[in-house]
Amino acid sequence: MNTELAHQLAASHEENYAWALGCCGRDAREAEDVLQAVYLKVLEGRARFDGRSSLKTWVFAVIRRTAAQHRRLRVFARLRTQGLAEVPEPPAPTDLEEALELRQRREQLWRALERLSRRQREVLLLVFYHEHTIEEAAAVMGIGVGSARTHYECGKTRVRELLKEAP
Amino acid sequence: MSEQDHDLEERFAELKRYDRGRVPRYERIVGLPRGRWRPAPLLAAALLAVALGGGLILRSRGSRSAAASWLADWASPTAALLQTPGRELMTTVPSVSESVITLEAQ
Repeated sequence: MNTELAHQLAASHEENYAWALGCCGRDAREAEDVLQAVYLKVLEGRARFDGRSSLKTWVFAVIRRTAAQHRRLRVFARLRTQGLAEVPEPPAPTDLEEALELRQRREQLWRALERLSRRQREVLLLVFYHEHTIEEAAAVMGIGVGSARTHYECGKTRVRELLKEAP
Repeated sequence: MSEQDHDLEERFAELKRYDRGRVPRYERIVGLPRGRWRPAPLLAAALLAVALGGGLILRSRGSRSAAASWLADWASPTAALLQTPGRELMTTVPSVSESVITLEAQ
């Protein structure tokens, strides 16, 4: 097992998990499964980094592909009923009203993102959440920069409309 | 970035702040039981099911075509009783111009 690579994965773990969460429709259990599969692929050498992009971009692309495979196999995977993931308890809200408002805003945003096309959602997550440039987002998604920019602009317009319509 | 972009940025930042406190530890992810999600056996099971299904369909098609040809070749054992003398008069329609020639020939 490559210890240097393991070290780098551990260092970027928070970002990797957040991206996996975004690729898995914010399903924590599924995101954990996908991330485990990715880490094992990388650490066991089944997915090899060729240095053509940054390590972070490459890992994000592997997560995206693995999440897509997982989505296709979800029907079979759900037949398995082994132990549930231990999702950490959310911190106790100091101000309940504020916490509820924040929760509503988060849910509104995610509901709006869910109504976009997959590519529009991915490019918005990569740019706004993960602070990627359009070029980096295009590399992760395996599409051209022009196409990524189009998805970005259309996605932004649509998500704003959906947020305005939101109750 | 426009003001509208800042609003979106703020919303994504809120989501990010929320997620930050909920990241499971790296060691826990790597140490998850491997059996939780293994696509290879699942794929193998799916392929086997497709192959078996395909085999059954082909097999049933083969037997169906054999049954169809047997039915097409079937003849009633009493069909010979229908071969009566003069039955051609009942099964053909003679035309007026043809009848004279036919009669002369006969």
